[in-house]
Parts: sequence; structure tokens; C-alpha cells
Amino acid sequence: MTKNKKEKEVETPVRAAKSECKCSSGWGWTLFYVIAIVALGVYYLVVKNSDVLFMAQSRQLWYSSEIYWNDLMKLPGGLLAWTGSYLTQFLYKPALGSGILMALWVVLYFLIQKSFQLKGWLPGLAFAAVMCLLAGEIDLGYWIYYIKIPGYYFRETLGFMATAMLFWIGRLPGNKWVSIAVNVLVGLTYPLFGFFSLLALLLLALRALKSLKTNKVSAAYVAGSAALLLVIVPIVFYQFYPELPMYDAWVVSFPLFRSEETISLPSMMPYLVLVVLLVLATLLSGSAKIERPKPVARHLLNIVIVVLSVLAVEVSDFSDYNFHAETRIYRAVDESRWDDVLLESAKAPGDVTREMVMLRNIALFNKGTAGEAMFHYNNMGEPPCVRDSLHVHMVQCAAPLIYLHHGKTNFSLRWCIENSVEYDFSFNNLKILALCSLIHGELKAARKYLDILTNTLFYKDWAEHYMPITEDPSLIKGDKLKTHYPELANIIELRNHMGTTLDGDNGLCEMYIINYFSNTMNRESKYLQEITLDYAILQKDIQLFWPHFMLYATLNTDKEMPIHYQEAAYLYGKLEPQSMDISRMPFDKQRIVERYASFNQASQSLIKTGMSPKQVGESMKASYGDTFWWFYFFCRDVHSY
Amino acid sequence: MKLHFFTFHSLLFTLIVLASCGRPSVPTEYTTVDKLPYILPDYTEVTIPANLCPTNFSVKEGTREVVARLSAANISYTYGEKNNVVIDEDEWAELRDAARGGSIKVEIFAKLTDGWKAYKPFNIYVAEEDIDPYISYRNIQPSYVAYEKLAIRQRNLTNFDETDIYNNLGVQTEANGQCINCHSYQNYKTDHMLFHMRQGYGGTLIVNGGQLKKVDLKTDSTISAGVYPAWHPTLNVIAFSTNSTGQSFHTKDLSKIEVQDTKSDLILYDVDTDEVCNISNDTTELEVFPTWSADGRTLYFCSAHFEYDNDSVAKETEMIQRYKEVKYSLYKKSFDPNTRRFGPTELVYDAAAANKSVTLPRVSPDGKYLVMAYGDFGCFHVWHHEADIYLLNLQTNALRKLEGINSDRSESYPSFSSNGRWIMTASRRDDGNYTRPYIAYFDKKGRCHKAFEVPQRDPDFYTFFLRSYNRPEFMVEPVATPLKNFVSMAKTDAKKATFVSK
Repeated sequence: MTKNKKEKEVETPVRAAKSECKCSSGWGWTLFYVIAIVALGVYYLVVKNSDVLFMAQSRQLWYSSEIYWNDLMKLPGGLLAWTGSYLTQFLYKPALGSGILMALWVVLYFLIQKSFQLKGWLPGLAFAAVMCLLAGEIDLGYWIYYIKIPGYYFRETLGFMATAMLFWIGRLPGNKWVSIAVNVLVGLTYPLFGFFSLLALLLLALRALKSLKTNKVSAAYVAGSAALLLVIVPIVFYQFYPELPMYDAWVVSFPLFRSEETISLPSMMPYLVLVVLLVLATLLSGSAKIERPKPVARHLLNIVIVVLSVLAVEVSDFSDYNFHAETRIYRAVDESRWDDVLLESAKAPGDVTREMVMLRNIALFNKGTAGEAMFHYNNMGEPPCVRDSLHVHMVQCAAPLIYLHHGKTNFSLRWCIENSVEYDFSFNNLKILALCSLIHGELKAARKYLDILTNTLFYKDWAEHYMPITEDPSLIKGDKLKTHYPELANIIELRNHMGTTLDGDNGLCEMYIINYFSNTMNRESKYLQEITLDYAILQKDIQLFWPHFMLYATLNTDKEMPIHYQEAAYLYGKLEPQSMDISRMPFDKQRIVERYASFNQASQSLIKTGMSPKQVGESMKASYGDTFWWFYFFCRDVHSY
Repeated sequence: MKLHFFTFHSLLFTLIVLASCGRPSVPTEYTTVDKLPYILPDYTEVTIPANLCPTNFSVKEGTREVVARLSAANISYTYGEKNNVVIDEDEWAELRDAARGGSIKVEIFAKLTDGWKAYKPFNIYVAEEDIDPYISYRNIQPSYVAYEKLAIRQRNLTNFDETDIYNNLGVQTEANGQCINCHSYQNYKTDHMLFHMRQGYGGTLIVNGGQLKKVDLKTDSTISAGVYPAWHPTLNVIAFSTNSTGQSFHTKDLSKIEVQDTKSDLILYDVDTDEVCNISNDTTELEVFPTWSADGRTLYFCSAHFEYDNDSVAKETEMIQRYKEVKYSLYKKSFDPNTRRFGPTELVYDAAAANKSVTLPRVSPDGKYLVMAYGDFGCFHVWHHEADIYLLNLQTNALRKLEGINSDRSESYPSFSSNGRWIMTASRRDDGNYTRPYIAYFDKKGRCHKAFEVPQRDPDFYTFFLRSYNRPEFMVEPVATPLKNFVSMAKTDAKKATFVSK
């Protein structure tokens, strides 16, 4: 009897706190927190990060297949990964996906309050926990190309929900044996929830430790069993998971941001803070020993937490313009919306990344306006903005799409596969693999990729659009091509007119493409020939330029010479008259001859003032930044990656 | 140990058992179609071993409902779930045992828009002979340079069980990740086996009579660590090639990649003493792919004569420029197991003279035949569409293409089962990109029957599985060394092998 009495005492503080909760709840404040979660969610996810969320879902995979399920179940926490991946699909429609996410956060908010008995006195803590998850969604930046966390955008939310629920279950009334049994049960959920089960065990151990002074034996048993399980569970389950390294057994399914070069603490910070918050909530929850602040102080404390949380979210938001613009431009290129690519490119307020330049040039090539407009846009090479030491490589980001639109389908296919080795297959690379295979005539391979995409929620229509080619490859040949699949016409034309050789890009997509095309001569395809001329111009190599220019002039006698080609020819004729006599070339008098004279005069006079070349370039950018001449003299220090 | 703790099929199976309430009936009304049904994997008219698991398949006739009737002797069962035919393992065993030496008749009925159709029935022939119960392979995306998700797995052919022998994700990823490759066994048994690890934790993991060790086979006198291995059938010595290998990429050709050796030699490694000596190291020859005869008295290998003649460019560059000139022929050296001395090199098949290139030779257990991959040039036929499996009769020196096992896509890495009745190859016939294990019956008259794809529980498995099967090898038993022991050993420092001149 004495023993039972003591065991019951373990629950006493919990009940005491529970009764306090009941008397201090307020629907007004509850509504405030719910509205705040939704409002902040809408603002940061839908308004500010729709583009990134769309990109995020496209860089992961979910398909209805036993194989996919089994693949994710090869690590503890597989259920979270699978469910997270399933839900991440809904970010295809960012508002819909965000809505689901926000709904889960509202549930989590109530769950944390209920589990940790915060309702009525510290709801701000539950709100802060949700804000950590929001911060974790919007602080990734270029890590979206490098994370190896299936279902990341939902997985962590689901994981912390699992922790809160397991902790709640741990509050079941009963004697110490019931508590120990619950601890074991929580430990057994490790295959489903990984780290999040262990976190629940940790919190249960802490909760038991709180009552160590009053219920020494029972609390020691319960806390000890949880602590023991915390150590033993990963070791035991490690034996069953061939893909689980020992050093990951305790953190598997916790979002670790690891790449070849770095481990990113900033990206993990929201989750580390969230863990600390839950530990704090455990220590503060259900204890009669802790004196509750008075109502005014309580409200003040909650408001401070809310303000700090919102500030933290704002600071976390990865708002780099180029990063966001890249995601929008990538999508526009993927959907052959060339005007949108150019509109987006024109909006860039500062220097752009080379990926943006490459994607924009693809749009210009497709519209046939590179010769007229290539230098109307920013051509500088700002390095991708990162918050840590992450090295961003174009081959791991947009290279497959860039190679595809240059007709280099072998290289496109290669990088899709290479990237899948480390970062797994995604909707994006399956789409590109399918297109490359169709273009190659590898119809069975194409069918394979299209079959997988057919088994998805949002890429089914896309797959069904291309599926007929697997039955009738003539649909992408001859006249049928432009009728049925006009978006592939230029890609196929480039590929058909390129020779084959053994080569390699050494992981540098842009350098390879510039070198390859500027050193390719082709007279059969006007489209390819013009691209070779464009890249020859970008090389700033006079000897390389002239053969391409002359061939272009020969092939396009019916067209007026585009302005940038005239600019290059006029400049090179002036710089190296021995290479080419330009005296009889019909240059546009006003746009070339007179404008070059004024460009030359302006630059000379600025140089005489003692300005550095960089300063001269800056001064002349407004007037001449849209010319090849400015690009030739002042576009320097381009960062290709 | 199961591959993973929670498998979809266990869950699915339970649900199916709970949900299913009977087997499908053959339709009473149908029209007959005078053609074989299009099924994947293609098991029409194949010959299978007497101990093989069910050959589940999917009917690809644009139907959502099929019924398959399988009959042998007086046993008959029907199956069909949507367009899949998934056969109960116990019932399959009944059918298969009844059909040993004969055939299982398969009738397919498919419901199309205009009613039920009955396709031309086909047979699945069941050989008298069993097959080695296990195979092992490396699962990898068909990548070029990158590696991370790699696993060497073993599959029980008599059922669908698959387990990891080694999985490099369980050791280390990212910067210190490893490439694992070239798993190999002594005489089909697994108590003497090896595989390599490159990059992080580099070395060769060797199981020697059940004891595990890790060695570094690179010495100052050899080109590289051991690469392509061949464990002597009875002695504790392993022949390896040592290779300086490079890769380059086709800009348009659908072969996509060329893998070339700029130099290569053969070495012999003594497992007990960790000593390495040369077998062949002619600088004008690219020796590679050693393999022993079943009696261990002959070492076969491939070699291409190649002389660099342009000093103005690097050897790698010249090799890329002249890659189509590299033609491997088949050679052999006698071997005295007592003195462990090799005899002179003898030409067995002059592929170069035929303007061809042969690789990956394997000798049949009875010593009568040798199979090899046969292509136009080079040593990496898995990327060469034209590559096929050829059979050399070692008694008559007659060479012929093995009709039953080849396709219009790449076939490479052939091997004989331990009873010599089955030949397995890594084939890209499914889609041209992903290698799959295909097995063909090789009868006593030396004929190769139509090959079948290793069956999977899920008929659509190969459609959705995005990894290749490299180096499929037969085994008479599963690997007994626990995966975690390999993992522990992998993390230790490798013992350096020592070079000895002989």
C-alpha cells in the first residue's frame, strides 16, 4: 500500500498543473496565436517563398511504389520521410502545400500546449516552437540543392508532432511499471520516428527527474529506464539497418545539413533551438514547485517570446534576390516561358549569378534575339550567396537543364544521374532523364521514367503529354515535331547537328559550354551556328570571332545583322585591323559608328581623370551597359562555378 | 537478418491476405488472339531452374484486369490482380516440382475494351537441374563518376529474400565516402571472398576462411592496388589486374562513356603472407580480367597490345584519341599449383585480328567452355551496345555467339553456375541504361536457351528500380560474415601488402 501511494504521488504535480491550466486559458489569446501562425505562414511561405517551395518539391521524389517505400524504410524515421515526401508534393501548388503545413503547425501548437501543459500560462513557448519550424523552412537558400533529407519540408514538423504525442502518452497515469512500459513503447517507435522517439525519451527522463526529490525510487526507475533506452535503442536497432552509420544512430532523421565540404550550423539552428524549447517546456511543465508569474508578467513574457520568435523568423528568411530569381527563372525555362525568363532577368536589381546568365541566354537563343539583346541584361557573375561555407556548383543545380537546352543531352543525362547518386532522384531529374531518353530514341528508358512520373500526384499530366512518343517516335521528327512538341524542336535541332567526340566538363558546366560552342563551326543549322557565334563573342577572342561572324553573314543574307554582332565586328576591326578589313562592312551609322565614337571618347576622357578601369566601367554603365563594347572592356571578374 | 525492419510487402501482404477472398476465375466468354501476350519480365518460352522462385510478371496489353492460368501435370491455379500475375510461393513450388524436366503451361486472359481476350499460351520450361541458390551483385545508379549509395547485396533465388552484404552508407558518406566494388568468391563459396573499397577507408576486405582482414594491395612496384580479382579455386592466392583507369564522356554517342586503361598489369597476391608478385607486366600490353580454369592450372586473361607513339600529349589524351584502336584478345598462362609459377603467355583467341575486343572471360566448371563479352573495342563492354556474350569451346577453339542470352543491347559480365548449367549475364536489354541480371539455361549439348530476368516479388520492380546490377555472381551459400563486421573492419587501417620479385 505504501509503495502504491508513493507511485501515485509521481502524478500529483501533473494533476496540480492541469487544474491550473483549466483556470487560466483564454480563447482570445488562443485565437491570436492561431491567427499569428497562419498570418506569418502565409507571409513567409506563400508571399515570400512560393518560388523556393516550388523548387523544393521539384527536387525531391515521391511515387506510389513498394520500392520507394522500402527505400525510405532503410533508415529509422522512414515513416516520417515517406509521409513528409508525400506531403511535400503538395508544394507543387505552394499555397496548397503551405496551407497543409500551417494546419499541421496549428495542430502542433495545441499538441505542445497539451502535452507540456503550457496552456494558459506559457503558450508563447508553443508558438516559438512553431516559429522554429517556419524558420527552418525558409532559411535553406542553396541548401535546397544539397540536402539529403527526403520530405524535409514536412518531415521535421511531423517529427516534432510525434515527439509531442509520445511525450503526451508518457503522461498516462499509472505506477512506475506503467511508466517504464510506456518508455519501452516510445523506444520501440524508433524505426518509425528515429531521433524524434529518442527526443521523447529524453524529455520523459527529464520529466521523471523533476520528481526525483519527492518520489526518489519511482522517479529513478522511470528516468533510469528512459535514459537506458536512450542509449540502448539506437545500438540495438543499428544492427538492423545496414545503411545506418553508428555515428548517425542517435541523430537519424534529425535534419543534419552535411555536404562534401561543410556541416551547416545555421541551417540546423532552428531545430536545435526547438529541441531546447521542448526541454525547457518539459522542465516548466506540470510542476507545482515552479511558481507561476502573475497574469501581467505572464502576458508580457509571452509577448516577448512572440516578438523574439518573429524576429528570428525574419532573420532566418533567406531573401537573397538572386537565389529567388534563379528558382523563378529555372521554372520558366523548364516550362519554355521565354518571355517570363527575360522579364525576370530584366528585373534583377544588381549583379546576377552565372546560372541566371546561362538560363537567360537560353531564352534569348530560343527567341532568336541574342544578337539584339544579349547585352541589354546584366552579364556579371556574382557568386551564389551562402550563409556558411557551402560550395555551390552549377552542375549540381541547373546544369542538367542548361545542357538539355544546348542539345548536350548526354551531359544533361549524366549530371541527372550523377546528382541522383548523392542527392537521390527527383521529379526534376526524372523529367530531364525522360526528355533526354526520348530525344536519344531510348524509348524503353524514357518509358521507365515516364511510368514513374505517371505514378505521382502532380507530374502525371506532364508524363502523359510525352508518353505518346514512346509509342510513336516519329512524333518528334520532321514536321510532326513542331506540331506536337514545339518545345523540343530547338533542342533536337542542336543535338542533330552536333558531332560526337570523347570529352568532359570537369564539373564546370559554363566553361565547357562556352568552349564547346565557341569552337564549333556548323553551316547546316542556322540556330546552332548563331549560338556558336554568341559564345564566340562571349569568349572575347578576336580570332575565334571572325570565322563565326563571317559564316553567320553568309548564312543570313536575308536578315539585317543584329546589333551586338555589328558591335563586336566594329570593335575588333578597330582593335585589330590586320585581322579583318571592316571598311566595306555596312555598319549602322547611328547605333554603331557614332555610338562607338562617343563610347570611345567618353571612356578616354574618364580614364584621363585618373579613374580606375572599374570606376570607368561603373560610370559608363548607364549609357553603354547595353553594348558589347562595355562587356568587352568592363565585364571582369566573372565568377563561374 | 532482413534488409530492413519494416518492409512494404509484409504490410501489403497482410492487407492482401485480409482483403482477398478468392482467386480469379477464367472468363467463360472470350475471343482468342493468335499472339503471345506482351508480358514483363518476359518469361515466355524460357527455361528456368528447378528451384527458382515464382516468375511473377505483369501483362502490358493495356489492360487493367488479367487472369493467368498456370498448369503442370494435373495441377492448375489461376492468378491475376489488375494486370499483375503474382504467384503464391507454395503453389508455385507445387507447379514447378510437377513440371521438373517438362513445362508449366501459362494461359493469359486479358480484359480489353471489347471484352476478354485469350492470348496464345506459352510454356515456362523447368530444367532438371537446380541453380546455385544465391547470387550477389552491386546495386548502383548507372552513374559515371559519383558514388555514395552503393550496396553489395545477395539474393536468394529460391525465394525473394535479399540482404545487404555491405552497404557503404552505413560506414561513411560525403567527403570520406567510399566506392565499393569487385566482390569475388573462391569457387562459389563465401568463406573466402573479397571486395574493394576506394577513397575513404580504402583497401581490400578479405574473408579468409571466415576470418576478416583488410589489406592495401598497392605497392611501390605495382600500378595500383588490386582491381579485377580471380581467387584461385583451391589455393589461397588471388590473381588481380592492376590498372590505371580513366573515363571520358561521349558528347552524343549513346554509349555515353568510355572507360579506358592507360596501363595495366597482372599480379598474384598470397592471402596468407600478404605478398604480391607480378604475373605479367609488359609495358606494351594492357593485361586485365584474370580468371582461373576450374582445375586451377591455367590462368586466362585479356590483353590488348598498345604502344603510345605521340610524346607530345599525355598518355591519357592519346588513349582518348585512339580509344577505338584498343582491342583485347584472350590469352592464358599455365600455372603450377605446387611451385606457384606461371608458364609463358599463350594466345587463345585473337580477337584483335578479327577487329574485335573480348573481355571478362569465365571458364565453365567442367573446363570445356569459356564465355566472354565480345564487342568492337575497349574493355568496358557494359557501355557498348553491340557487346554480346560469346562462347569459346576450349577443346575445339570454336567461337560462337550465344544466341539465347544476347539482345540488341549490351551484355557483359557472364558467369557459369557451379554446375555449369546456367549462365548469368549483366544485360541492358530492358532499357539500355540499367543493367539487370539475366540467366540462361546452358544444356548438356552446349546450347543456350532463352534467358530470363531474375524474378522479383513485384512484377513492376524493374520498372521502378533505379539502380543497376553490377557483377552478378553465383554463390552456393550466403555470405556468413555479418555486415557490421565488415563495417568495423572497414574502419581499420589496411595492412600493406609487400612486393616480392619472382
